[in-house]
Amino acid sequence: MKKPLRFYISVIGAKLLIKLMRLMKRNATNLPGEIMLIFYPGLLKHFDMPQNVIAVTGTNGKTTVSNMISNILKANGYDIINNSFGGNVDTGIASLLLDKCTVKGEFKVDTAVLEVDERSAERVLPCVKPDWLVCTNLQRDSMKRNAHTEFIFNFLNKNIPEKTKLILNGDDLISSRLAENNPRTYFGIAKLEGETAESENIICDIVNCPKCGNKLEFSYRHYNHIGRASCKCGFGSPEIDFEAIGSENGEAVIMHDGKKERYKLPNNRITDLYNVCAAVTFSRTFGLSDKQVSEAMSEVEVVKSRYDSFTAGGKEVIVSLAKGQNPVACSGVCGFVRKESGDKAVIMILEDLYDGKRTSENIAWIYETDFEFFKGQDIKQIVVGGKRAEDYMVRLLIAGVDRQKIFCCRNETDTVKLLKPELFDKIIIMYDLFNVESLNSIKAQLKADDQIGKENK
Amino acid sequence: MSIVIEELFPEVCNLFGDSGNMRYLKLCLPEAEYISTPLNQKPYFADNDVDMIYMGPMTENTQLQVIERLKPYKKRIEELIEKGVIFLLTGNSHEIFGQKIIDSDGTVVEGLKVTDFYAKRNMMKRFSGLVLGNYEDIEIAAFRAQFTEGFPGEDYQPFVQMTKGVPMNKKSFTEGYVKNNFYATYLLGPLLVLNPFFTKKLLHKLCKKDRTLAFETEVVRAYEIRLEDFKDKKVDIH
Repeated sequence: MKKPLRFYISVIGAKLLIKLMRLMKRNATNLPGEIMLIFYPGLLKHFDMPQNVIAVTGTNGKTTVSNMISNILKANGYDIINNSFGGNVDTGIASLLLDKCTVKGEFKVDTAVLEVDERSAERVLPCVKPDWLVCTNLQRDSMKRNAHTEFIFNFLNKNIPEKTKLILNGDDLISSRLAENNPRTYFGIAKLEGETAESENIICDIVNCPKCGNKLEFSYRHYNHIGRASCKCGFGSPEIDFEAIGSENGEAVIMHDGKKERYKLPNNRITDLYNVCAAVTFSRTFGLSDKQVSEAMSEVEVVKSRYDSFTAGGKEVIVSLAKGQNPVACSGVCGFVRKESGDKAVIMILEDLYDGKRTSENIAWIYETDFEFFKGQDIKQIVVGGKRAEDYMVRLLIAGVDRQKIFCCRNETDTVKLLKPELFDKIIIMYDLFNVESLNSIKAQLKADDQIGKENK
Repeated sequence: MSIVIEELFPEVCNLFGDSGNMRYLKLCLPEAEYISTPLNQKPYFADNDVDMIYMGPMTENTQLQVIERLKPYKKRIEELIEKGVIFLLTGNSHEIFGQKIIDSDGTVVEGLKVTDFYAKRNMMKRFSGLVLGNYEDIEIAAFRAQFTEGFPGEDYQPFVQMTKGVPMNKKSFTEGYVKNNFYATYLLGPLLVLNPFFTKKLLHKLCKKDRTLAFETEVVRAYEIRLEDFKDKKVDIH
């Protein structure tokens, strides 16, 4: 198909800019795409996309799932491009495509795996026309950008091309209803031990039936609105094609067509199980055998920026990404903290430094986050660092946490000094992606174990 | 006689941490009777006296359902407003009580028409940011995040006379409106936690005397830090 001259100018211009930026040792993740999309807003629709285009979206888990899918496909001989460097909005995706295409806008690889931010769906999906779309879930996220799940659902729904095959979370009554006429395969997790219809979470994003408005009856919930529900009008959770029934010896056990399949599970949280389920369901539906997927998955590790653990000063230290402004993801980590055995101290550095640089962070989201999970006797100390520390203090008090256990400091890196090491044997650090610099300082201080609780000695 | 506080439709009107308002109120005023009415039930206020009604923000679809649910009680709502019952309506929940919501495609959603207010909605534009200003003798510091611009009609009494921030429409530098004790505000999230002196004012209206807030020292400290932050010229409004 003939392409406009502006497309070729964009490709050549971007390639020169990317080269220049790399010479200057700068990441060319967004800027080249941003500039070229200003120069030619219709740019994205003119690429001759690779034979297989897989898009991965959703509120939580899309980065992990798209990385898993990329690894599985690579290990099985596919030649892929992906945006694992982090640019998941239209400008990042444009940067990737401009960088990897030929001057004619074609690709030498056979497959593109694109992580797509939900808010960029309108500008990306109709242009790149993915053959496959994996949606991990739709949950409450940043109120400023994403408003609410109904808004994001409608936004995604109207931008999914007709022929795109969907891989959907059948336990999510919101995202499982996307593009109802498109072909689809559902993944999910069976009821796990101890789960009931009740939820301890503050947030439930779907309470009433979207068809008739009556109250939904949940048969069980994994967390928030993720579980199985039905309505007396006949509406309900769909049948699951790939269903995880639990984990054994570090492996996810997934039922498909009446047979058990086993895949390495990089971590044991329910969100990890969902991520594995999503990646496996796509790969198997795409045409790979369980053996091919399982062998490729054996190499998969959790990215250290999301989860890490080490020992310092005789204490076990667990580091977990908790995503500020994202109450469901952060509540998941609160739940994980609660379940961890032993006497614990929690360090929280969740300030949104991106917002904080320009304005004053809206902390409303912490009132949707389940800090009530921190009331247990085994949580001995909670140390909060950052400009909004006093807000967390109030939130923790309202959650019912004992005042004596809460410590605050305005400087995130001072949190280590406030620890009382005699009280606990495990430290869990919850941090936001914006706070990696502080996290690294905290980790370094912990590793130099004489720093723990220096102010208290 | 105990104070009765009704929370309307909390399972669906709770979008932006606004449920924190009632959690905090319960800690500040534990002796009050709290009634939580789900969307599919008749509101308690329809047949009973209440001292306060609270409703938080909701999705645009839910707004349609809530309007239908409250339509039969329009007269009763007007009566309660005249009687001075406290209504605290945060986020877009107060749009329900106005004349209409006009969408950018021209679609009109008819409201309960209890007040002269109307809203213009554009789902592709989000008005977010901080709000700093005064309500009577107290400073209010809070946030908004919405798809609508609000127009309260002629001769309204603003809830917040703003000094900084994103106003509810481009023509006025005000936020929300008040009619007797009917507080209609786009401010959202845990407004009562963030604004302890406003909460004290509400509690005084409810109890007819001064009350100490739950965790008052800590809540006031967090408020003072936020005020200082908001007043900082380097702090942008969004």
